[in-house]
Amino acid sequence: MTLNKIELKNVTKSFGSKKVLQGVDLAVPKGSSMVIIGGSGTGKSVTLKCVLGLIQADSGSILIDGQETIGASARERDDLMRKFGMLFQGGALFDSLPVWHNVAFGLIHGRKDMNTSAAKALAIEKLDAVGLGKNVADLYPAELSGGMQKRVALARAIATNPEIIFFDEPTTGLDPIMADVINDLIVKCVKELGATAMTITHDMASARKIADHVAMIHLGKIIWTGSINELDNSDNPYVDQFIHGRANGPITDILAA
Amino acid sequence: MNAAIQKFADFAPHLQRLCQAIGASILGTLGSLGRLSFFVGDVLKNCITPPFFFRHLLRQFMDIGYYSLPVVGMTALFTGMVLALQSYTGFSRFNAESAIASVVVLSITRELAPVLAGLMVAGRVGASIAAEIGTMRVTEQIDALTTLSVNPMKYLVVPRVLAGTIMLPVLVLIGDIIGVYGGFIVSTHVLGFSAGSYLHQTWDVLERMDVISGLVKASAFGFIVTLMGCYHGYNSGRGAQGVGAATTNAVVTASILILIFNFILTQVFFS
Repeated sequence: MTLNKIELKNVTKSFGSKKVLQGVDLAVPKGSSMVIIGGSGTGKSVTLKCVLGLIQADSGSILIDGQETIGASARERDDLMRKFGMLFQGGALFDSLPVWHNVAFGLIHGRKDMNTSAAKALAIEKLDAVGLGKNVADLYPAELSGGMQKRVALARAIATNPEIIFFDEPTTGLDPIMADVINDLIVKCVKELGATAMTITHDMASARKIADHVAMIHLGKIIWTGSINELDNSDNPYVDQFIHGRANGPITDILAA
Repeated sequence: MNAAIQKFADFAPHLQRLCQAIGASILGTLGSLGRLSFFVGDVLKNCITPPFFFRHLLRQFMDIGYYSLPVVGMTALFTGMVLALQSYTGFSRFNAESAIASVVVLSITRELAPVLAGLMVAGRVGASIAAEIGTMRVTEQIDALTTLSVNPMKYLVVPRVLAGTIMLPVLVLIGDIIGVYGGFIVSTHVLGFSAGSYLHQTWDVLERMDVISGLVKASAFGFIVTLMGCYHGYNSGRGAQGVGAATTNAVVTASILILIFNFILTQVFFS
């Protein structure tokens, strides 16, 4: 039996009267890469943020390494956070800090207490790993192109050598070539770290490249999971409609009804 | 009789809607008050527990304190000057021109320097805090801080609130001096008072409590301005509109609260 690094059982979350998650069940085996696909507003981001603890789930259970995280104390949550790295959709780089400080942020401030020069050296190493030269280190995020910002954000996400990395729509807003570069970097970095990865995306090219396993979320529930090889033969009309990007099918029928 | 019942039945839905609207707005107000109280509690708790970001605190001392000096200084100078002019036109009708010095120094130290400095800083600092933290919220930078194991309350909010609470009294003390000097300039150069007797009157009437009460007020106003900036920025809505609304709310609530607390504190000090 493989050990699940992340396990969600019947997780629910509502905002006011709007039920966003209606019982999400999902298991991510250790060292594998899970990609969650689904349309906009189906609960992908909320699922991710519940696991991270940025949003408190209403009920259900979220296990990390077999340990319950819903209702964890502030201290436990702190320890938990250090296992995580996260690549945000818009990069979420700190615009008041130079690139190297962004990458080294978790090392300097995040209770790792590394001294600044060592952290800077490590940051430059990580920037190199995502294909950015030393000259970028002293620029500010606003001076970089979108693709370069994504790379810096990736370098920041992997800087603390996390056990679990989350990617929130890593290729959205990039041109196809830069998207593929980012996909390659994600695969490479996750492999090098031996980390468990969880990605949410609606970019199927990206999903096929990154995923070991795929889960499809629809109306706040996981409606299909399987390995990436099974994706094309899922026999699930929802999955088929989504991966082929058809305007007509069960997903749009429900929304129209 | 039936007609009266019918009339009431027609009227009932409107009454119900009115009650619902009143109830909803009361619940909404109480809800915001509760959220604000939790936020204040969180800020105070994080002020006294490590880790501390000292370099951020120093930077905020510069941003909130030093860079507000020109604004507060100009405000105090012209307020002191206009106060001397206005009280001269008033008092000369009663041949009471000698009271100008005391009016200027007491109004400046007790009321005008703290309140006007508070309002100016609300416009300058409160707005910029709300816009900065609101933008960080909208672009997920606050979430990013959490994922990097840094508590955003400690990193963003505590340094600003501490800097505001500590620096505003310093600004107001400087404002007191500049304001009194403004009154002095107008009185001696425009109104023809002798410098010596003006200073003498100023010094005679001024008591320690006048200055201290003003500085305590300033400290409270500094807390209010930075707290409102942080609170509204931290809970900013989505997009440019959300940040805009957060900025407006920060300045408006801070200004209103300054005026309310000015009354309360004056009541506490001088009654």
